[in-house]
Amino acid sequence: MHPAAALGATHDAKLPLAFIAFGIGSLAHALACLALEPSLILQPHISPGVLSLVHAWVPGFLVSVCLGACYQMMPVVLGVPLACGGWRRWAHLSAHGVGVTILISGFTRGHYEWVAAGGALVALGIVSFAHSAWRTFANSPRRDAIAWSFPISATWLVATVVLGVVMAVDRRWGLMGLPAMRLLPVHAHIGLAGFFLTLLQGVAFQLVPMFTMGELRRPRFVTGGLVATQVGLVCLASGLVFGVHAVALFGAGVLAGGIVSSGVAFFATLHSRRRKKLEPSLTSFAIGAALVPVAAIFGLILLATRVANETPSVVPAYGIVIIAGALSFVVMGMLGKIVPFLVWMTAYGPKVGRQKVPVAAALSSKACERAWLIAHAAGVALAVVAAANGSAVGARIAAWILTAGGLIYFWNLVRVARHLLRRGPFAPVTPVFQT
Amino acid sequence: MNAVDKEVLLTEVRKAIGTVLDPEFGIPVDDLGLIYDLRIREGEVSIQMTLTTQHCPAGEVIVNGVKAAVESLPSVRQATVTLVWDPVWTPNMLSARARELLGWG
Repeated sequence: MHPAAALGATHDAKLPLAFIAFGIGSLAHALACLALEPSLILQPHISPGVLSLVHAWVPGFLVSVCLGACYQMMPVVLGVPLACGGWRRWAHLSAHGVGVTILISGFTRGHYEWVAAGGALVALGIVSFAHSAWRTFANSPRRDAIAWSFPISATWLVATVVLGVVMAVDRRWGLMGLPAMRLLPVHAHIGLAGFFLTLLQGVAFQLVPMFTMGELRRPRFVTGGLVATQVGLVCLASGLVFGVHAVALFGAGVLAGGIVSSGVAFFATLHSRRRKKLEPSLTSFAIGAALVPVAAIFGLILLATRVANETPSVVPAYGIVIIAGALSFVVMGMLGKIVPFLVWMTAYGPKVGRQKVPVAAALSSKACERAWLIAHAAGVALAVVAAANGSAVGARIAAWILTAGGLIYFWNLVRVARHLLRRGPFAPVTPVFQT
Repeated sequence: MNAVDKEVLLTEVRKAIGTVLDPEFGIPVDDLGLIYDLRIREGEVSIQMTLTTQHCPAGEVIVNGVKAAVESLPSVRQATVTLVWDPVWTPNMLSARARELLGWG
């Protein structure tokens, strides 16, 4: 790579921060819904309230944050500028924001024409994002698992959103007579495993060494994990769509193998860190990563046995382990590092070398991070137990603890964002690069 | 510029570079072992430096910060920062102080 490439590829932090801000707003909406109606934890996963909550949490919060992070990280990791203009990225944010809002309103009111319209807007943005991911990847010389994770995960996201729109259209107008109950787990798993897990199986091996001054360990396990996940997911989705149980089970097994392979590499990489003490954000990331195999085993048990038919309450518990547990710990932990960094780059980056500036980590309160982590962990654990046992009291307490944790988390982010108001004049200087 | 003046300026330049911290770890870039070479000629300073990774998102800020810090010295007319990847940075290049700050001593 040309020495300048690593620097020339970086760009403005405003768009990632805007995606993150929208995501945080969606999480606030989801937590408010949960606090007002804690029984959502106990309701079947196909009820309108649960569908609305899940879509506020997943495409609203988790996907928005990951999209913002990808727009920031792709050019840095791939070492080339993003292959799409600034206006297209902002158009994506607009389509995503409006689309998700319509989508969630549609689920809340049971208006599936709104769900289809909102989903179509989200899909337009995601297609544009996937196109940029593939073109940027094509321009990059990097071809390891970390680089591949961007375009592959973007492709799964397109498939997830398009399938969701098709299901909403069919639900509203009944044109195709699709087997919705069979397609719903496909939609969920290609989104959760195809997008989030694939992205995590690449990006984690860039972020963790960067934030802990460690180094990538067991790269073959990283590649193996990514490949096994793709093969497993294709088999799982095909088995579920065509109702071939053995193929679905085989796919789930291969997928679980991929998770174990990536997990081995992840904890070996984490072990190589030079910064010995793990901050709360990185602890959250590690807890989320450790919950991924737990969720995979849970899913395998549900698929291999008749537990889900005999005790339907375990299905919401499974969803909570994945969404509020594994994925939220990973994403919220990552946000705890990325937001202070992006704010620092915008507010203090231009002042480095000219005046004394704080370090990025100092913008965030470690006490708030710790308090959120404890509250979120307690809330998730209690919500899983309450959902599995159908306990209304447990669900209420879990919802309130999760909301209290969320408030602490938001307060800390506001404290970090306040540094943006302290910006001063910027006099750019350009370094010379050796060719 | 005689040898004594050059030595004094070199110390000042090192001190100025030491004010530029890695934003994530809060460790001066010279303690991280990022500064490979430093030359002074007639008030012009040329610096060869690297980054901990080629994919460092703060790279531009750090490199510009080093240039700005050195050029802020009254006896420096111009500073040129050259970014190099050879030799590749490894944690073995950390100073004893940096290792201590990272809890790795």
